[in-house]
Amino acid sequence: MSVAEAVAFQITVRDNPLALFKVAGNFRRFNLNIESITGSKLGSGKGVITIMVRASRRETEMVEHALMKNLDVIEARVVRLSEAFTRELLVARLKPHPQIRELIQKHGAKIVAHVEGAVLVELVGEPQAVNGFIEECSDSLVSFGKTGLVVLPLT
Amino acid sequence: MSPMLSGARALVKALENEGVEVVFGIPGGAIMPVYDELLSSGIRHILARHEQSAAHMADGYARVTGRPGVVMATSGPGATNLVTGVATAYMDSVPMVAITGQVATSLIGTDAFQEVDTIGVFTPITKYQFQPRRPSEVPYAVKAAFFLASTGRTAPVLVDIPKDVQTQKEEMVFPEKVELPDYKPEQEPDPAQIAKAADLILNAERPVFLAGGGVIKSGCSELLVALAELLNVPVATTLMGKGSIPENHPLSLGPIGMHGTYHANKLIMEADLVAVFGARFADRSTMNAVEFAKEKKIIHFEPDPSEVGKNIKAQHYVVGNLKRSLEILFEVIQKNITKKRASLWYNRWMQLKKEYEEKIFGATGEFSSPKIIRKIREILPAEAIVTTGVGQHQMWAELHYKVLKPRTFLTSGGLGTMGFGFPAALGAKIAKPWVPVLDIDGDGSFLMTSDSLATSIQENIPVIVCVFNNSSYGMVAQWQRLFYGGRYSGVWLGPTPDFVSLAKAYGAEGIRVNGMEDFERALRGALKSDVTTVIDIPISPEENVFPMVASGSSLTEMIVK
Repeated sequence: MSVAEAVAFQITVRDNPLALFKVAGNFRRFNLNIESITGSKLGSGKGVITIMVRASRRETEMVEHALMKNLDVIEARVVRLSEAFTRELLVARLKPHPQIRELIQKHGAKIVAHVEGAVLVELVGEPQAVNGFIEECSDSLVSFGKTGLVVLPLT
Repeated sequence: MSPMLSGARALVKALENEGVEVVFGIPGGAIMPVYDELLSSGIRHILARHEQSAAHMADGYARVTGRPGVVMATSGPGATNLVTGVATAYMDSVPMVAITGQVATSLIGTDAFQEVDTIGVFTPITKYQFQPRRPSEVPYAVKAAFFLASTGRTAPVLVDIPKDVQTQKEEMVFPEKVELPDYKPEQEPDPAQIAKAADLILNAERPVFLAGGGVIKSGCSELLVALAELLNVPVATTLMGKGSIPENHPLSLGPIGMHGTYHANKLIMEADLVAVFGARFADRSTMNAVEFAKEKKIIHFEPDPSEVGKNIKAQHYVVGNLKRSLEILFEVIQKNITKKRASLWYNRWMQLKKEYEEKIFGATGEFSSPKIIRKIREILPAEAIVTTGVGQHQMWAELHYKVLKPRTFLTSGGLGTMGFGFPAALGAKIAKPWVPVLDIDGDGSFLMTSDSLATSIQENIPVIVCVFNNSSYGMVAQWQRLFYGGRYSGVWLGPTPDFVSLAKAYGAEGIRVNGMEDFERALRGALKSDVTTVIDIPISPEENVFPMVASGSSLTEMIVK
């Protein structure tokens, strides 16, 4: 059995209320847990969904076959994360902390607002960078939101 | 100005525009406006007694005509009862349009009476789903449903119509055609790919053709036979491909698979090249896929790109319209062929066939199931349609009923749905009333949809049902005998019901037979009858279907006795 690796599926879909349900079903059938999902409209009745899962080669192939059968999928592309430009957006509310400015600077995050005794920051980066920031700020982290992965293949 | 019509009227008119002559179904609260409109239409409605049966009837109709069968049900349980029938059609790529009523749009999501998320339930078992939210969306939904159901890989499509959408009126435009951007149902095959395939075929020493259901659906059986004759190549089929080549043709090997013929299973494993036409390498056909693909080249001719490389990796693919692929392949081969295949390969095949007929089949009893099925073939005309349930009888039919024409053998190959045979036979008879239709069934399988006897009598649809009655779920019992040390669990059905009395209770004929002469007399009588005849054939519960390949084994590892 081959080892599971992180792969992203970049899926162009017909923009309708059923598309995401059907696409998610194509992953559920193989018991793959969606670790990250992003979606947006592309115009002309199309949208794009990016889904990241950990899957073996065989599972990846089977999902590809299932997606090809899905009429709401116009195009599906498997992207290995090692061969792609990946970004994630984090927005976080942080309590004041003596080292907070230093941490923000270290990770290249940006303060976007000061609200009720907290700062709102944003960070755009690779998933490891975003997760590293969350870990280091855990003492002062009040709440946060992440977009999930946005992927652009290098070639 | 476009006419003001209710959604229900628009639905029925859209069905008429599609040339629909018959719908199968059961009414209920959420689809009453449509049923009311059916009264003003020339479309014939066949009243089933269970929605599953209605779907199998529509399925049988579609398999015979090649046109989408139409089934109707109400919301909630009406829709969920359709699931098995629709899934059966989906697995076997049968065109179907399933129309379900839905609670009013204002009630959707409130857990209203007889509300279920029909779209959610049907998504994995239909090619596409429509739920018009305004009456004016109905004509497009119906047009698109028929277009999708009958193009590309044919399949069921769902149209779920809320009740208020059925009753409200709007101006209607009935599109003459629909366009779905980026939907490419048919791909033109690449001549270069075909030329390479031709080269591989011409250079093979021990080639075998394998025909799947796609050959029948694409209407290219004659082309395939012509190609096989040109090259003198034997043709095996999958279960769904039975009828791709007349099985009395000298080049027909019969089906491969778990219960394939002895010589087809052996020969395909000894081949150095297998050219596969319109088959998806189902596990029941190839058995151990790794073993199947060993030491041979495989060429896969496949209209559906999503099947390419899914179950088996072939050495070469030709993706595109199957009929067109075969036409080009025939031309290329005809141009380049220098000599017909040597007779050594043919001799090997004849040797295997002889081995089977003498040593294995020859040993079965006089009134054994295989011999009864061969008798059925002997008596029925070539154009007769045979359906099957699922179980031992189905596999005996696969092995011993020689199909002579495409679309005359209807069986649930993919989903393996018990209860398919009888309602599918009724649908087939509606499609071709002038042709005898016979359901080869088992007692367990027939009981699952025997309520359709009421439909058969009420709607005057006479068919013949041969019940191979071993008072048990015979195939499960066979597996328990062979693989579970004879520990029988949950398979004994006992002596009830009395199938003769059951048939008579519905107004049908019922006959119990003992012995071949008795059976022959009963079948010949049934062929002349104006009503459905149920022939109860008591068989031994100990009888096994052989040859058999156990799950996970290679096709060569057949249990033969």
